[in-house]
Amino acid sequence: MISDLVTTVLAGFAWAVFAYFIVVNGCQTALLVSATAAMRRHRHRTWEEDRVGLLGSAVTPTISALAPAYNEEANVAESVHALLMLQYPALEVVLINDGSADSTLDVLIRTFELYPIHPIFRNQVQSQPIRGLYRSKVHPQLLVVDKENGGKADALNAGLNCATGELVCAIDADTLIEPDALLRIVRPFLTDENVVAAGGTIRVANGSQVANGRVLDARVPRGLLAGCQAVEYLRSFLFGRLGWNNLGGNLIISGAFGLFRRASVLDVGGYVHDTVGEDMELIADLRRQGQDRGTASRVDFVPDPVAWTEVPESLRVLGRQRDRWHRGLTDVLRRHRGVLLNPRYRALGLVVYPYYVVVELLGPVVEALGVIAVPLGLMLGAVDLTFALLFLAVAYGWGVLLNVTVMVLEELTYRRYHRWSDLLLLLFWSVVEGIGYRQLTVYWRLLGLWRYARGSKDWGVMSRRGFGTPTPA
Amino acid sequence: MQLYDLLACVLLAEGGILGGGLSLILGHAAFQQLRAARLRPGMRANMQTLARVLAGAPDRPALARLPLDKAIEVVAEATRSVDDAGRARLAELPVYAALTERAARWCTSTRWHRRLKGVRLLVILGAGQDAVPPLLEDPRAEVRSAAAAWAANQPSPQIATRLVRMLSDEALACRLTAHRTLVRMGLHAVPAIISHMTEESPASLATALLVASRVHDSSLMGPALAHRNHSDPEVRAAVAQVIASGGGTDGVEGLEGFLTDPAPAVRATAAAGLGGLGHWPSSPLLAELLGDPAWEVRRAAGLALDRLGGPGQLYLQRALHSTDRFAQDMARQVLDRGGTGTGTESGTGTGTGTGTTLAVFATNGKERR
Amino acid sequence: MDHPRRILLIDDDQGIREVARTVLEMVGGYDVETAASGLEGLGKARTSPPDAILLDVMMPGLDGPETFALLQEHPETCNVPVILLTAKTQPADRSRFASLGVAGMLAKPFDPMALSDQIAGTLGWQP
Repeated sequence: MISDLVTTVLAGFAWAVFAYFIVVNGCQTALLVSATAAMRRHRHRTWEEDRVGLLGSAVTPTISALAPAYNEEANVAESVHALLMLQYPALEVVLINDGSADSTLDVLIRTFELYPIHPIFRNQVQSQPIRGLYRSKVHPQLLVVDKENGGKADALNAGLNCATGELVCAIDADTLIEPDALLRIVRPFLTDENVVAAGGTIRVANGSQVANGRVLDARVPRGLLAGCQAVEYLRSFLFGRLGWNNLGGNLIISGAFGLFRRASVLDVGGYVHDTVGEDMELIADLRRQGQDRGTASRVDFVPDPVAWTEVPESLRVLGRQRDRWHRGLTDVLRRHRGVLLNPRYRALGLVVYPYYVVVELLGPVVEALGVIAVPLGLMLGAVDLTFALLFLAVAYGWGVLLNVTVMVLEELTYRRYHRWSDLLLLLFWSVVEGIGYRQLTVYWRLLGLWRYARGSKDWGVMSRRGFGTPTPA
Repeated sequence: MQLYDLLACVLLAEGGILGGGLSLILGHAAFQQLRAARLRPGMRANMQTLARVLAGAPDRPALARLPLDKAIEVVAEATRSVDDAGRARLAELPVYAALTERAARWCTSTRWHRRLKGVRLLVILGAGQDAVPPLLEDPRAEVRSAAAAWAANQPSPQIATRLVRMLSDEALACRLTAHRTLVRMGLHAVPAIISHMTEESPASLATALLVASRVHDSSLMGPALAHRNHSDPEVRAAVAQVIASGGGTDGVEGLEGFLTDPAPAVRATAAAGLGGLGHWPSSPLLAELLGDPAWEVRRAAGLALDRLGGPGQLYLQRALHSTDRFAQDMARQVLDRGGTGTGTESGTGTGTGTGTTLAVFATNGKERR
Repeated sequence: MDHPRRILLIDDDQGIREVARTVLEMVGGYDVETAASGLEGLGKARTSPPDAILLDVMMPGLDGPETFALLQEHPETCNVPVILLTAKTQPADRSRFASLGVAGMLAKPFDPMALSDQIAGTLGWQP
């Protein structure tokens, strides 16, 4: 009797997992088709476009690059140098020293011959007190903000207050932005007044040759973890984000490289302090409040501006990062739960938000339940072994297929890896990624959900190796 | 059993697509590599030939035959930093005629991306006097905007007039490109801008005025001044901007008049303009604005006084003992600022919206001096 | 003059290197050497100091002004006149570059035929 009941429940559950699988794959196919169309259009629009013409133009909006730094004495000078080198006609670099305990500020003062200026700025969003503002004698477009420690979101808010640009670009200290990336990422702001934010592609820098804050030779990471992440980043940017452009807009822009309309960011009160996913929260705020007020609210992803980032190569650090990301996602979705299925928010409420809840937030839960239920069902005879194996093969095959399709998109468009060995290695990683790595991320995300439910809001320390290279004499 | 079959079919299909995808990737990579190796010598040779032609060499050696995309790539590469005079020399090459003809044909295509490609290629070639102007009326914003960018090197009264009309285009890209191109056209654009200053719509009028403020031509001053009492503050701010860019006695009076304007953006622009013109007799008026209710006006007044040298500094010093707390505070901030009077650094912090734009203008004005 | 004057061109853009080299050799009769980066340029300038250096402002790694500063530090290269090639036409940048102490500035885009005359004019060389 009881075993019959269990069998029925398990069989029902297996069907539910199956249905879920269909829904998710349907969404992904739609995204892929949409991404391919968006890519084609983008390539048409940018063919032989005169970006250099923009360089000499007086109507280009000013961009303030906000770079928070905390205890970065080892590579802060190099990071700032790299930012100052970005090709853009009206660029202001705002480095925010977030109360570093080391000699970050001294290094900056020495390297860039900083002199103090009186802080004339308007406190428009909350931040810890600013101790001083400095300008550079050698690079007039460099502004250094020295403030009390308050975390990354707080540092960015201080930067927002002191910056003068019409657009602001939040940049992680361990991210390398390609020299022409700003000229490319500014594009949506020049074509659509409804755009409040734009994000660029992040690629994995591990294994590539880096010098002077620039990736000289793009290589596919050799390590298993970094390799899987390279595939994962490529997939999530090239098809995920790009696909959303036509299907209701993005809800996420990587905190590592995004461009925002400063006035809009100030309107929503800047970055939120008490969340672990402040970059996601900002996007959600911008979109939601923009729609509430009927002002600009579009968030665009642009595929060709590229920033390179170093990803964790240890399980421990990577696990903490993913746990934190998932807590951030959960927090943002909870804060904006009023958007869910609310017709007032149109695509955001009816498509984008539900997708994030069903696929991104609850995906790990369903997958984990499946992992528990299928063996159980097999044991009790509720699930047929052949069926389970076939299903597993189809699911795995789908994952690989998705990866390979993205590789096709990459091969036909940007071709960042030139060597055969790199191409083959990347294909190898895209096959391997579905075995083990993806299950690990499921586990970390579950952990994140669990810890969020328990009320944990700590950041998890990211230990960074940085891109520090000896400067040539 | 049907379900099994279905799954098996899906699996097979996946395998098939996977195989297709893999062979596409590898095949494409191999093809590209072989093609690049095969075409490299021809591209190098053509590059050198083009460089010689651009440099004015009298001989016209034949170019190696290349596929269209590579031929375009070489020309684009070679002409990247070459101005129109240099590009004009390419016109003597047979390949140039072929490419121009191809581009002109693209310009009449029914597919928008073809037309866009045509315009962009004609920009590279420095040609298209017949093919591009009709595309200024193209239904696609991308094409209109590209055509407007092309016009920068082909100034003519008709095109300038069309571009001025494009300042109120529905697409932002077109408005910005028209703006940029008109500024680059400079003097050629002046008559068209003047005739546009009778425009009814305030937004369109304000844009025309902003373009005028960057073209720097004294004949724009009169028509601009006619709008000094316009009801829209945006237009008045733009008028102030034009005056500030021009100078002259009329200009100073006009700007001083704007210092008491009801709209903060106008007062701030006028204050920044007086600072930029270096008109020190305006110091007392600017000093009064240190106590203005609007932050951006106080800041503009403070920075303007700072730039006026001795007299301005004197008023700032005096404001330190003012009973008005706001005036006192702004004076203190400006005077405490390091590197006073060097005039190379821009102030930090602005308001939102128009304030931001004003700061940009203020900085530009400063640097122009 | 017996030997043609030697010019070192430092620019990361291959097209510009090719065109400018051809032009300067053909029209100006100079002996032109090129370098694709600031670092490479520094090396070449130190091993055999040229008569003038054309230096692009926007380069990855060492940019124009930084390369110029390093050139100034070395006794072999500190007297070589440097002309900056700049795509930026904004007055702010121009005045900033001018304050570095370079011999002159040339704006991109340029007319290739006039390039060598402009250089000669800037440096006061007899054609």
